[in-house]
Amino acid sequence: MKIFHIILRVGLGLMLLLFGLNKFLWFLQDFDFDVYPQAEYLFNALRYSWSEASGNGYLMSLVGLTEVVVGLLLIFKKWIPFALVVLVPISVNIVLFHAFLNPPNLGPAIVVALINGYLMYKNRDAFRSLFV
Amino acid sequence: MNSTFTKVLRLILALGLLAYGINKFVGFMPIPELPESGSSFMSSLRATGYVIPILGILEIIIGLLLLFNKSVPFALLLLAPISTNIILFHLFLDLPGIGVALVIAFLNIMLIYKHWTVYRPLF
Repeated sequence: MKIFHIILRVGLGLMLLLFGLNKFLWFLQDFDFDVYPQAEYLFNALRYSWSEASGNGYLMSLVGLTEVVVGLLLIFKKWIPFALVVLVPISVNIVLFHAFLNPPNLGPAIVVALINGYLMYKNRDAFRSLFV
Repeated sequence: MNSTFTKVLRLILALGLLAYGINKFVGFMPIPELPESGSSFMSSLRATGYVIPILGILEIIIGLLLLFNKSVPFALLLLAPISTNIILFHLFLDLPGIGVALVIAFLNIMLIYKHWTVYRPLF
């Protein structure tokens, strides 16, 4: 079981690092949004704040930066419960984004959310004091 | 953690969130004038169909938790990404309207600071 948890944690960390860096370097192939206009709108809003190349696409950088930081924390096993909490809003939003606007790519989103949830469950003692 | 000052901060934040949360469904507040990039960003969020209602529901839940003093540290944590995003939205896309965002973020940070011991196990 121990090795299983290490694989989950480091695997999630590497995945986040990859997706996070991609939001700055754009080395992965772009999604094909041809039949998903709303997804395309939202993505353009994130990248350009919808007025094309206004240079204010702060949200994509925020998500990318957060993914990189969370990924590094998970890989180096530092502040794990904190890293998992910071990841929650991102997990929730990628699942919602794909569920509502771009179902074919829902798979990886659900994987990220499931690992996030499972690792939080494993670390549940750290979160107990939040519910007093 | 339980001083009158903290209680007042908590209640102000709770009522503010309830107002903004309910407003996302009922729309009783005047619609603010946004600069072009800000308004196109907002309309792209509205076009998704799910972002605004979910944000509204979260604000109402957090507002109620704070109002009734239930799971306050959890509520503050739920609010943190929302505070961050309203601040950034106004900072980048609607600077003149940043006032309320600053108040919400300030209250959020102050209250997290007041409950800091509870967040220790996360690090």
